Amino acid sequence: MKPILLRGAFFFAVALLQVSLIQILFSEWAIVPPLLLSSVVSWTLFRGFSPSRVWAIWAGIAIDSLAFSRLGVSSIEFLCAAAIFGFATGRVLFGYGSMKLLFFGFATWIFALLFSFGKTLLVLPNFSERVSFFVEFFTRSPAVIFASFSVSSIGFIGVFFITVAFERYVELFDRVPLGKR
Amino acid sequence: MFRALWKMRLRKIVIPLLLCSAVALWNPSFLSFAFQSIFNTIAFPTKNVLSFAAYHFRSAGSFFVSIGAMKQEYEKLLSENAELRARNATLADMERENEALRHEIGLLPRDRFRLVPAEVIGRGGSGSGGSLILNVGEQSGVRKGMAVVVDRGVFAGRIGSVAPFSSGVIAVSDPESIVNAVETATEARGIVRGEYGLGLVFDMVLQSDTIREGDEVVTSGLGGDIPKGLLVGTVIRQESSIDQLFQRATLAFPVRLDRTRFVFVVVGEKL
Repeated sequence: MKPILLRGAFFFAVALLQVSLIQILFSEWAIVPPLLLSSVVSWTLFRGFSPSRVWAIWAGIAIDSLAFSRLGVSSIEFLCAAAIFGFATGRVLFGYGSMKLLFFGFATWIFALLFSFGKTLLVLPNFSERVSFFVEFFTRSPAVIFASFSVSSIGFIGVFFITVAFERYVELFDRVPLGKR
Repeated sequence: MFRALWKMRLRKIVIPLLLCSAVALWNPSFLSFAFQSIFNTIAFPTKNVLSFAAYHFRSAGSFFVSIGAMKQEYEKLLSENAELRARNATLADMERENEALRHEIGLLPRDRFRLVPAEVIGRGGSGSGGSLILNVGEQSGVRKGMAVVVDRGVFAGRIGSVAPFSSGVIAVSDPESIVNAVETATEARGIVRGEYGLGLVFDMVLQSDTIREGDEVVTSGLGGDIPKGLLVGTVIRQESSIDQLFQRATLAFPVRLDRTRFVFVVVGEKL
């Protein structure tokens, strides 16, 4: 099977999990754990920014279509994430220590939060509504925000290892058979 | 230096970002429709299975979390039950009065709609009450713009996109959602819009109209496929708009949309 199809199917499956499983399981949380964003970030950390652009766009199209959202918005989010986390590829991750991964999980959650705020600021019409949004957001449920942050950060480690393991598997299909070299 | 940076990295970031931004701003309906129809048709069976599993996991999780609070809740419910039984007798009389009043102000009784039951099999957005994904689509007679209700009379949103077997709902709490509404007691008219999942605002009400705390706001039936008489919320705080031209009020939504599993699509009115 062609690696491009396998990778496409992988990100599509993760998008499906995000929309139908994670969003329902954690629907009461302020920030739903960003499973798809985590897998895009993991892929970027493993492969670098340049090859991950295509998959960031594809993952965005998949989740926007599955969630009936505006096409292109999630692609922008994932591209920005890939651009930011792409700087870390090969520089920070000489070995995938769990503390480093925990840090990236934390950073991914912060990125998702900031992007969510950014979208809100574009939507809300005036300054006072923006201020009241932030006040309500942070006073609504600090425990839930903390739980979301913890689950997302720890979950990132699992997502990273699954993504890397899958990518290692796909590498098998990248190799040219011996007789055809 | 800038040229070197552009060659190295910036070009790789800026060009795809511009392309995606152009698509997001342009929002081509034919492209969205094509992707949504194909992807949701392929994913429909899996979505059903995953959402089924998610609801069961969630209910199991919430059971374990709430086990400590259940005893207190039980005692509280016992006392509430006694109080509610007493009030029930009064309400029976008030129901008859309510029907008469609804008839007087021209609202439809809430059980006179043709409804298609649907299950929420996915969600979009993040903690915003943004969009709901339903397991009914064109095949069940669902069309864009139709109203979606909870508990057969509470307005939950309207259908934003339709695929053959599923559809997307723009929830009433979504900032994109705007619906014409009227206050039942004073007949003050305005629009209700979402505040990014944090609440509802009854806005653009004339200064000459009266808004009272505790009053119900219902859909007015003006424009679109949303019938009149669907409950939108209860007024909890009234204030003037920033430009002082209009009044606005914060509404309490009667149900938790983030916990809702079953909804109804209003496909028409019973003759």
